[in-house]
Amino acid sequence: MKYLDAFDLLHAAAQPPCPPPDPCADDDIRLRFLERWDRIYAAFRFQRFFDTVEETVRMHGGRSRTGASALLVLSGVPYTGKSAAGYYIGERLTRETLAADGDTTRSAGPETILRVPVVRIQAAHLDTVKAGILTPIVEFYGASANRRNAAELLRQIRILAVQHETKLLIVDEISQVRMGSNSSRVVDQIKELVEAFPAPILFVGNNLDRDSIFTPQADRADPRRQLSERSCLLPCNLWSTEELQQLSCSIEHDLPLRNHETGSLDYARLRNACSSYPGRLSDLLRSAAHHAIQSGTERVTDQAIEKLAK
Amino acid sequence: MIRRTILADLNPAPDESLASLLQRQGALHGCSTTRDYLSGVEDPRPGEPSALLPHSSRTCGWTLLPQMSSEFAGILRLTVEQVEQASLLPLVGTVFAPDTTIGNIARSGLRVNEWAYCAPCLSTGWHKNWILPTVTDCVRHRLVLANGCPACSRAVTPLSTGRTGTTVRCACGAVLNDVEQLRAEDDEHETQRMLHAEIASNRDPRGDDIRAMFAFLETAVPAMTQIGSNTTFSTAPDSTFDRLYRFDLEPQQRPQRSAHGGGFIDAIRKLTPDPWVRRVLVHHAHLAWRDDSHRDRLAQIIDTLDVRWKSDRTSRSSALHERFAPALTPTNLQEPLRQIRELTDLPARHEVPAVIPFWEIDPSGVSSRLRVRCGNTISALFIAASTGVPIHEARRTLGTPAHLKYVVPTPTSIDSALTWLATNESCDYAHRRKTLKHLTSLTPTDWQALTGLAPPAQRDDQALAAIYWVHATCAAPSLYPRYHQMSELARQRLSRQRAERQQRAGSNAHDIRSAISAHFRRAADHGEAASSRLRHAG
Repeated sequence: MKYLDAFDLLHAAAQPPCPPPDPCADDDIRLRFLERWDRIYAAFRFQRFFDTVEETVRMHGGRSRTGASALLVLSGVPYTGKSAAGYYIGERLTRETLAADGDTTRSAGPETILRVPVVRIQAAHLDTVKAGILTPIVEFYGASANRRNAAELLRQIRILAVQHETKLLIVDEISQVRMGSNSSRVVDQIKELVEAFPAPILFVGNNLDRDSIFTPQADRADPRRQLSERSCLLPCNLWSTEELQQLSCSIEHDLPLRNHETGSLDYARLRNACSSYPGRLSDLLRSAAHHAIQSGTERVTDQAIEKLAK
Repeated sequence: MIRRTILADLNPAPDESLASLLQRQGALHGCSTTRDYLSGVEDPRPGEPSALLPHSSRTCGWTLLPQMSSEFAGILRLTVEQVEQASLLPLVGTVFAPDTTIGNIARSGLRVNEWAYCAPCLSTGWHKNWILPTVTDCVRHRLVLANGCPACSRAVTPLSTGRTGTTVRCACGAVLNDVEQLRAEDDEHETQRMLHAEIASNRDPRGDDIRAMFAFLETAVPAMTQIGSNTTFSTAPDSTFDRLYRFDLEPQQRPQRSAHGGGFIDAIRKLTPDPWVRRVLVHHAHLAWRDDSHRDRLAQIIDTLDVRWKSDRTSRSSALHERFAPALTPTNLQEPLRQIRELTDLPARHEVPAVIPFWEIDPSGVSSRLRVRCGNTISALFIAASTGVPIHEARRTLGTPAHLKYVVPTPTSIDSALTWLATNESCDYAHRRKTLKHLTSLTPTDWQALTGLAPPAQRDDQALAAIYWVHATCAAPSLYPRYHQMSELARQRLSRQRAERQQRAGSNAHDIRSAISAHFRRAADHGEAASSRLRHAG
């Protein structure tokens, strides 16, 4: 589920996930549904996060009094559904914005321009902000970003964002931008991006609360302090058993199995099996359902999940 | 691979240029200039130097190599047909000869590095006709095309400017959409309208249509450069010139004129502020679109000025001269002139212009200056003033420019005609006055002897002088269809009178020469008396 560019995001937003097939359908149909699993579950634990993002987008256009974009940072341990939450809010905002306005295009002179309410990129594992963040943003719009320096790219990004009426920028895997010897330069360029981009920015990354660009150092003159003070940190911890149970029930409800009863699993054992990782939980349940269809039992059991988890 | 633009459609206009499409595409990519955008376009053949950039930066704005069409179509996300429509290739066959190659187009004097533009049209794009040196007006808005940046006065092209939405900016940051332009005058507008229609008509240029027009425009301007300094044409202040150029304003506030060398109207205007010369040239180019006779006359002008038509000049000239030489050669006009000279003792300097038809544009300063003074516009005005013939009739018979129908009022008197000429035509007012003074001595008898008609009911020396002016400028044959009959009649009468005079032997009471000299003597006495009165008064 990685979007290549804005076209793919708009395409995904225009087509909601297909409904699960009838449990009485053929095996081929049900297996294909499980293989192409495109469900995203808005768990209750992310509700506050969704509300915060939507409120930031709606209030003041996401700009502070100084003109800088509002900064949201979703940080936590790996495999807790942060990226999935980012995808979900991106798709939801795109769908809601385009549906509310009723017009997916705008005209500027003779041109017809597609509106892109949300830009979602994945920061590359590179040393510089230019190659790691700015170029992916430009390429997300389908624009040409070759042979340009960071200042020109920032100007281009600003024009593109205004032109396409972008309301939110999601930068996933921001922790991949290394804090090496040029850390102050990286932080400065991200600050420039924050000030140039005309919409709120949501950074998603692992453990951003320690040793990252959002972590203020002891030195008060450190530019990271400014970024950290401007940003709103949204922590994302490991899932509790109740939260995993809610998620598991949502997934079980959609599994196309004939004999499975939602809520029949032992969720303490399930949490141990998936090590509290919701992505692993989803994978285990899908795999177990796959085996259940192939073996003819048509039911997910705790033993099957533990067997798969080993 | 070439980066695609998936988020916008260009929606090209029918007359939009390829450079404009590239500029709008660059704006959609968030680039500051088109050159900036093209430098970022990846080359489709990795490992080889980009063939697109050096080609496009120099030439893709106005022409196109066939093998580049598909690459431009790729980066613009248009079809090859749309890209070729936006280039100048469709004009091969209308503006350019059908056998024209791209190299010939490149050398044909287009404004490659100095585009003209219409500010209101810029919001939608740069029209491809603006690169043609003969297109000087925007027909849609009826404005004279501007060129150059109003702030830094550097030349602008679609490749050097940047676009944000509908706003086009020079590299210095000045907005080109707000440039003030002049409103095109009637004759300019009419000519340009027909030019645009002809360009859009896809007509085969192998006839005398558009290529004749273009060749004329291209050849007339260099010919006009040899005429000389513009101050030699006029001593009267030209208020029109000042009004157009607004020298009372600061340079930044002045209306933008097309300053390109190929601009026909402006080139003439720069060379001479004399609107008459300009109108004659424009008018002939204008008429050449309408009927064959003018077109052939225009072709004759082209042959006279011949610079680039040398190859087929022989065949063209012989055919044209067979048709027109009898009417246009000076020898046909010598006889009426001789009679007039005999009658009026015209000064010798009036002989030269009389034998030069004004459409034979000679690149020497002498004949052009004289041509200005002896034009048909003046004749039409004087004829109308003296005979009461409406000006449009005179215009029709004289072949005076069609635009005079709108701007020239029928004068009610010679004075009003002179006033109109002094304010609207930059001919030498003092010279006209002086000449008129010499010609005011004709009696009704002489008038009747010359024209074979009854004299005007109201005795008016100036009206008679006007008639003689017409004869002196060779306009009579075209004015009076019966001129030759009349001149024959006059010759018979004159010979009769001479016979009578010889019979009377010594009695010169009716001698015309003595009458005229007596008149001059009276006028001189009158002038001396006036000056002596002034001296006494002083």
